[in-house]
Amino acid sequence: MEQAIVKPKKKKKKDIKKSLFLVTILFYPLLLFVVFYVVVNFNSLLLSFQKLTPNYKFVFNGLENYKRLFEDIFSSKDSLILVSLKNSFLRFIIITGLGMPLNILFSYYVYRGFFGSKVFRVIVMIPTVLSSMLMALFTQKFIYLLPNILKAIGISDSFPNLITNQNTVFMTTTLYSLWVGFSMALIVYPNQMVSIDDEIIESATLDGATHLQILWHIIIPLIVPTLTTFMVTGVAGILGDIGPLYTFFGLDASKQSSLIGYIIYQYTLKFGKAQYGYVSALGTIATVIAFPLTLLTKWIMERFDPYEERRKR
Amino acid sequence: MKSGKKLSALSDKIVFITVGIVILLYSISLLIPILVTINTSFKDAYEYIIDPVKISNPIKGFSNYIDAFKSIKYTVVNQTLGYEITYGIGDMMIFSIVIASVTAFMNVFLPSLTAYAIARYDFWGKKIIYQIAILTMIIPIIGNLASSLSIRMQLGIYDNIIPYLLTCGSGFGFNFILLHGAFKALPKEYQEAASMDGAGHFTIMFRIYYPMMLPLFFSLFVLGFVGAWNDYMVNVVYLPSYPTLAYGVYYFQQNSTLMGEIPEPTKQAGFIIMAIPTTIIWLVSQKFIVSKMTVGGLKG
Repeated sequence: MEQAIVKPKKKKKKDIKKSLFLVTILFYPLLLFVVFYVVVNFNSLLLSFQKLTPNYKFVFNGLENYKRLFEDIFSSKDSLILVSLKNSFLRFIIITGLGMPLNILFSYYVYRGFFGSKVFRVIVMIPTVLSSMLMALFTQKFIYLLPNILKAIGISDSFPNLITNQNTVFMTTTLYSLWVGFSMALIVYPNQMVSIDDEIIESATLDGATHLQILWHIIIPLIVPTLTTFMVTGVAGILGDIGPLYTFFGLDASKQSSLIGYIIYQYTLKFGKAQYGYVSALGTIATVIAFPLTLLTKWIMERFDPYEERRKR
Repeated sequence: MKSGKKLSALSDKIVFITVGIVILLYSISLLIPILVTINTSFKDAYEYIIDPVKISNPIKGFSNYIDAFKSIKYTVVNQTLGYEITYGIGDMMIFSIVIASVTAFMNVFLPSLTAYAIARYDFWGKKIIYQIAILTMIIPIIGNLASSLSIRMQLGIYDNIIPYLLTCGSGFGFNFILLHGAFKALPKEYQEAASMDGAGHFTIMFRIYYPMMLPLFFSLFVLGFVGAWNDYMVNVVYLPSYPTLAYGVYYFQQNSTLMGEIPEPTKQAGFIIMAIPTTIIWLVSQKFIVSKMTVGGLKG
């Protein structure tokens, strides 16, 4: 009888110690999450219904920010928001459409150790080594000098400056992002490929499979989870991406190169609290567009995963 | 990594020789802007105006580096101290080291706490916390910059380095996913044995499981450090009074353009100077990063 009483007391003491331990280690991370994620995002929604008064107070403004936003979107085919929206999606399509196949091919090339792959693996890290700021500055200086270089080697007398020319600035900044964007994939994909069982590859090779067949039928299906992660995070980031615009242009990028994510930074940092309501409304609409797209992408990628059921077990 | 195999099939030859040529051209294209900048950095101002493309004399142009080193400064009214202060390259280096180290530490330590609790213990709310961790990675939240600045200003932690560093981490994110998987894979027997010997929860955590995870912690720390070292947007948005080297590069470029005083070759020498510490850090950290980078799925 005494033992039965002692046991529940001991268990209760153990449970209290465990609870205290969990509360102690979880308190600070969860507090930061509540303040800087939950409160910030809830406040962002509230701000979208507010405006700044002349005495620097935020007051309820109804749907005025959203009305102003939709007026700006539909004011003309060439409005800043519409052009930026189009640019954001087009940028993603170009970078993913060209980048993903190239990433896979380059990664397979490195994984198989073909000629020059070790040197390539080092050189492709340059944009990561130097920082995005420095890489963009080096490239900007080179692009400014490009007309002189082409003239000096007799190719062209009147090559435009690709950054200052409004007809070429969007493609230049987009292709720049594609050009510097291979380094992360070339760390991750080859590591995933290396984790594939050697016996599968050897067995396929013995059966006469070519490299392309091994890549298409074995490697790609087995790295679908990694592809899914990159695709899902890529789609989630379409409307938040500011690209290299801040580095190239500061807060003064032109409409032709603008992106939705860049407008949010530009309006917040350049125009200050007066635009907080408008920018928050833009962010809310962008989130409403991006969220279902992200879920749809995840669903589609999981449908394409031939090993989805096996992975779930 | 697989050793190279012969390309016997015609399709393989066509595709992978083409890929090899593309890789070669891509590698050359990555080096060209850097070589052009180095070449420009050794010219004098007059030579640059007359013929910006000509190959320069490194010995003659070395003074540009000395001028750039002296010119890389950042003047700002520090919000915390309340007066104008000018930071040199040494100050920026210190800010870079402090901000990068603490940011990297917080982004490993905080997720390790949540990951350990969820992976090793059963408690009420565990599944909810895990689902929140997954959802925060999937749900794209856009346009909360204004709100984030507003909250930080109201809490008095905007442009204030110590509060910023204490709040720069998060218990979730990619590091949480990696650490959760790693903690879950560790054997339970250690915990049971230590518990039977009278070890408390903190002892088991810090003296048994955390030491086992040190290689992964270190890799994530190095990755976070390199990322934070190169990040200039934190200074642009949250800490304008505490310039790091990354922000100093941007300010040097903008400032010299606005004032028109610093010749282009000297500016570009400044960029090369800024590139040296980042290159050294990367070379030292490379071994720890490359082998640890794997990305799984977003299941939840």
